[in-house]
Amino acid sequence: MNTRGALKKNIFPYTVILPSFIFIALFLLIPLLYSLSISFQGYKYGVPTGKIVWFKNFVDIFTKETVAPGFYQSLFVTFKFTVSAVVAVVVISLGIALMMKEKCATSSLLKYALLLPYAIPGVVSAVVWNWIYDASFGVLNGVLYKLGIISEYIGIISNPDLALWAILFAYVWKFVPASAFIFSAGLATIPDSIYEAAQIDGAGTFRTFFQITIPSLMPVLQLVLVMQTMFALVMHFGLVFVLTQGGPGSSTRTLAWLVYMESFTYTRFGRGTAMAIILALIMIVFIYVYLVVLNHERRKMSGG
Amino acid sequence: MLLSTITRRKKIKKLIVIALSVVALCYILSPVYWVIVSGFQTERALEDRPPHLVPTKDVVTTNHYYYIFTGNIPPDSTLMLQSMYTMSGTLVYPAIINSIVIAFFVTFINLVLGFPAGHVFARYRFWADRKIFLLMLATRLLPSISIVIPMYIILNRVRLLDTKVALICIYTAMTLPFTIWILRAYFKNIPIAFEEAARIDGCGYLKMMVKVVFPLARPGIIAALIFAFMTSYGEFVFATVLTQTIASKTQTAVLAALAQGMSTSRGMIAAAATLSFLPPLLLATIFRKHVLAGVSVNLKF
Repeated sequence: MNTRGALKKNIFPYTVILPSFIFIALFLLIPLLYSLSISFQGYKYGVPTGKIVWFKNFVDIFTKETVAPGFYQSLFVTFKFTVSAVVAVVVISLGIALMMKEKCATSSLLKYALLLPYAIPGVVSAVVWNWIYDASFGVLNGVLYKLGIISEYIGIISNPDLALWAILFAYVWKFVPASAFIFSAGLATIPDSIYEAAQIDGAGTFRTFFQITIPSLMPVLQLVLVMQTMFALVMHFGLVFVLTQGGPGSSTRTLAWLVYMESFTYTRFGRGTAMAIILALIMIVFIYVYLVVLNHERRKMSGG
Repeated sequence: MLLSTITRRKKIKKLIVIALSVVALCYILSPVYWVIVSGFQTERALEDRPPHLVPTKDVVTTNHYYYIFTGNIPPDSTLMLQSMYTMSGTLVYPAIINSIVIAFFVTFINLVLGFPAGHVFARYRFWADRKIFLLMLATRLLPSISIVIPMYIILNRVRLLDTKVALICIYTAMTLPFTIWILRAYFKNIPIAFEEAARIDGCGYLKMMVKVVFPLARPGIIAALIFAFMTSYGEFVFATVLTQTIASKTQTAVLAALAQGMSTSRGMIAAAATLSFLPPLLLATIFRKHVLAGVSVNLKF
């Protein structure tokens, strides 16, 4: 009787999490394993042939003359975008969080305004920006023209030098709020007494910021940095899809877009999947950092 | 003397803060303002240079919304305009309904499965508990583009391509890890004493979960569910690859396709975009406090 009771108690947690686990296994883990198997197969007319070619698809990506340059180019674009996006989002959202901390009319307005980009789905915002950037009738062109900055309407997202930055501007708009909320919550945990003490000691705004705010915010900052890096690697897909389709030329062809093109435009599923796995590997490196950083922080907290 | 420098400094600081806040507010609000205003302007006004930033009475129209909801081309439109109201405009409204239905089911399954699972991870110690939890959490961080191709092939084989069921299942799998994560963190901050008291009073598991645990954890549950709803409502990669007809097409897929049209009425696109973001925006505004709490749960991993 006792052992049966103990057994029941032992299985109980598993029975509760089993349904969730089944969903995750069926719809995330199995496709992931299947994608590994596809990437090892040859393909014809987009369909995996079942013939195992092992790492040929991967080797092709890095070495084949017709594939590799485009791939390296997309890595470069991805890198350029990710670094700029992370820096821009972190700087702007930290700035906004600091502004929200000051007690004035605009700060409470900001709190509500931030909900807009946060709640508006990424693709919907992409459609909005597409209309704003419109080369013939876009409001951005209209305003710049009125201000005398440009002498005639220009194609913003059809210009290879501007397209990626236009996407970045729209991307930052969407992803600033989440970080600003996190920074805001982080700032609220810093006790006012520290700031008062600093003020009595005669520390200026900048010194207070770099010697009190930043160090106290370090764990939050690390978290935001890694999360934003993960987002920036893939979450721009909807913007690229709606605004530029990877163009003009290869100026906005990121790795995420290349995966989509290889698979669904050229129906080269094997190679596309292999690229997707490379993207996932880049991501996993960041997940690893993410977990290590958090564990480290927790150990530090429980140790102290 | 010293006091006056400090107050002067404070005043300057405040001015800078206000000035920067206004710049930030313009950046945040102007795209939303412009898309709402565009949806209510006549097509001809939208093609004016410079654009009507503050529309006057003679350019305001509700024709775009009229077409989206009824599918009838407004009688006063020119031949040119008639061709710009493409048929896919009539898909916007059913697609939004599709998105809401899908998001609703995902949210509901998240409640039924994620709530007890988060509770178990917070309260019970069992073999490999931490490993299972981390495995689930790690899947959340995988880029969807990495599994959309195998998903397409699998769904095609089991004939679930272009169905709402497929999207509901995928989004459930995508959102459950985060729901479990938020709730686990939330339960860790609730004293276990209430549950123990309920158990001593002879409460069964189900009754305890519904009558004791649920009310205590309600803010956390709402935060997690809103996140699940918004994620599935706005998802794009799966929605665009795995759907073909309006039987399952979501608002993101329809809207993205609509915006690709070269000669589609721009006012109609703006109106469609406005309608598309209304449901999640309404939800986020109503549950603002919960949304903010949900975001900052990230801090208490």
